[in-house]
Amino acid sequence: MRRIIGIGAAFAAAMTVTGPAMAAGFPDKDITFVIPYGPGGGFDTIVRKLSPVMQKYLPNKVNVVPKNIAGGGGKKALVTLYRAKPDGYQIAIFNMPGMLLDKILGQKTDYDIDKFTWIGRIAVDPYVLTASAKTGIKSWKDLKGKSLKYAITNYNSGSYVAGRILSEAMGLKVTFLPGYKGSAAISLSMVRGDTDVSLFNAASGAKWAEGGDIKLILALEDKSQWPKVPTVADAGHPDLSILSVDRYVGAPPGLKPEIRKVISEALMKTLADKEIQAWSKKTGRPVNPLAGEAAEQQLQKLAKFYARYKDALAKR
Amino acid sequence: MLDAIGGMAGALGTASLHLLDLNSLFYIFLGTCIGLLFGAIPGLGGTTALALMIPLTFGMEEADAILMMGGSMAAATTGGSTSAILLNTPGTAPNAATTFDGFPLAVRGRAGEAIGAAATSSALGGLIGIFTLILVIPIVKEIVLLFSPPEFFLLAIFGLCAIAVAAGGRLLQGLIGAAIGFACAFVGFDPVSGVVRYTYGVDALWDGIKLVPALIGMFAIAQMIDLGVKGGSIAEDVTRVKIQRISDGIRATFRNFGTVVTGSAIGTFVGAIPGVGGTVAAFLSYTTQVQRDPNPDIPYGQGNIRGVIAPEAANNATDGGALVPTLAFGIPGSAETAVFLGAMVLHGLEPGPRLLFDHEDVVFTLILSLTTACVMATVIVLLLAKPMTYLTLVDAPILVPTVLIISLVGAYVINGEIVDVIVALAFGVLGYLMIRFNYPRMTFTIALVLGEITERSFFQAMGISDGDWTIFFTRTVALILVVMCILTLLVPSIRAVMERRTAVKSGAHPGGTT
Repeated sequence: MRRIIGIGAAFAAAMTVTGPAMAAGFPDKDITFVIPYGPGGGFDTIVRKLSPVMQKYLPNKVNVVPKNIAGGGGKKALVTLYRAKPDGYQIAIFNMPGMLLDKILGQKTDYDIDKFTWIGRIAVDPYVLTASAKTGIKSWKDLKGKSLKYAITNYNSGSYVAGRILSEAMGLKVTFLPGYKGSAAISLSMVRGDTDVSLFNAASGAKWAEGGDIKLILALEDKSQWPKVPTVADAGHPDLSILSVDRYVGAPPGLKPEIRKVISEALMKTLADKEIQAWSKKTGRPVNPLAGEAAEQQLQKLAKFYARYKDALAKR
Repeated sequence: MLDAIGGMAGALGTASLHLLDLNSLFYIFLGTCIGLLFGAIPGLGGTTALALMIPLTFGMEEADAILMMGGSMAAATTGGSTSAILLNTPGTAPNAATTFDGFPLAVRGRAGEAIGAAATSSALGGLIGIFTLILVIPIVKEIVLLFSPPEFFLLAIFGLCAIAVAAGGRLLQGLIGAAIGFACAFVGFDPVSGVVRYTYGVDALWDGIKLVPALIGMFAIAQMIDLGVKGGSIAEDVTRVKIQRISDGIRATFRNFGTVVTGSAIGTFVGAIPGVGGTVAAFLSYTTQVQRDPNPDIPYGQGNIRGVIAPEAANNATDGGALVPTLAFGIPGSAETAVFLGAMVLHGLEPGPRLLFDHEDVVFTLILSLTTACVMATVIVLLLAKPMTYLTLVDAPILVPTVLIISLVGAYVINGEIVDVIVALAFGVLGYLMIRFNYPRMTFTIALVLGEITERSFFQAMGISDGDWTIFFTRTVALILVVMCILTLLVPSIRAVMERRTAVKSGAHPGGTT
């Protein structure tokens, strides 16, 4: 008798654990929004900005709690997410195409980037090619034939990937100098004239240009946001506008479609929220929402594009 | 330019109005208390305090948020000095150098005096740092641009020269300790090639051996093992403890005002270099102090009060210095300012090179908060100093488990990772063995702290010069640093030779004194 009650209790417990997650009861507890870097950077900032707004659009009044899991250039967070239960209570922001790269270059990782469940895209942060004012470079035409130094954090960084592809496509002579601690150190090396060129995201590039120490040379966009700055299409390389820093949201592999839908819809509503829109305008940080399926297709397109440059990216 | 200065004066006036407002003072006070607490608990520290505060600031007025965060920034290292002195555990990494003389003072029953001196020099250092910042606002850009990778490298080498001093007569043991420290500093991602090294398949070591858990082990845990083995209490002779010596510490600070000024200058300067920070500043200040004072009344490392004043003035002065790159280019000068700027973005402000012109209210509110909190934190610490010094009288069976638990929890909460606890324990054992076999832990710490920046900046310098090593001699600032390093290493021997000669000439001490 006791055993039967025991089995019955276990069964009931199992029901209560799996039950709500399967049905419309999601979410019934707080959702953790993982940031794969330490506090203070661009990815951290946008997650912290979105989280409180996202709570409004999720059913059952749960909280969205940002959590920094820094380490291994973001890989630690990805491993954590990959191994987490696909129940929708753990999602993360992804740095693309940086995080696609290991797979493209055939490097071993403890996760398969293609297997994550994609919730959506938050933003596409376009690049702008800049030159140190000390180099005397005024236009992209001046770049040809010059020996250029380009500071990067490491060979896995988005800035390296985009810079390498750009220099290959345009036939530039660029030496990449790794070891710089983040974009602040890179900007300073340009201001001092230690290094010559760099790709920045449009917002910070524009900020630096205001200071006058760094010149905007080429916008990696279809249509330049600055009237005086030409685009990559003007320089004869329209396909390079795909280079950008993209912020995606993903969940562990195997997330149920109905839960994915709930989170994805909440994310899309958050990105359309008046507060977020106003903030995006004020700080110059773009928001370009793309929901689940469409985001997934866009990622496949990105992967295909970057795979074309596989050999160039393996160069040192 | 004149307009800008006029505008700044106006903004400073507006910011000062906050001081008359009880509400603003409350937020500074709140920030200060949180900063002190997070600073005193090993492992937490200012960056953690700020990161945890971010959600709290959402509902706040921008100015109140800045006041609170500024309070925490200024107070954390002041709080950390008390743990360094009482428990030989730097509460935050920049307090590491304070343990060298702070703890021996506590052992001799002079913890009150040490805390008094640490708190007072913290306040003075902080104020001098901020004052210097305001003075140099017109030339902030030039200051930041003085330093490039070759200068970072030489600054690190200058810091490493401290190993010779820190070895304290046990040169071989000191060098072995430093070599271990270097070896530990190079674990994980190679900052240049990005290749992972010396991790032996342990993923958790990818990012290297983290400084704070290592310091917690090396100092707190090692000390507790030692205390547990020996028994007794931290103060060796309980009857000699004079708790009422806090005012002596305050007086000692003012008597050694030169030390305060030098330390603050070093702190402000080093703080202004992005990516270097308070830990390095405190070490540099300590070494400089030891070199300036060749014949101390009490040897350094054995409880010289100036060995507490120098690093504490320096690590608080870095707060002002860290704002130099922020004002010049809108980029953070320290981990704390990075989180602070991130929080400002959340409040709808995008910091950039024009921060000082477009958002001078933010800048001056922060400066005001840092200034007020410096003084406030010191007053609070001085008021609490007396009860805190009783810690040195607590018997080992009570103190050891308590401190061990706090330290291990501290190591865990930094990243919420058990591997950091293991690192702390491993370094605890290593630290205990070093105490037991009389190896200086100081040289180990200096190498661990400076290893990464040494390597990174060397390769960067080589990169920008296309492999031409003369880059270390052909730039003015670099050359000055080279000369300083050479003098640091040669002056003690030259001085010894000179002393011997005069001694021989006068015939007073034919054998020489050194």
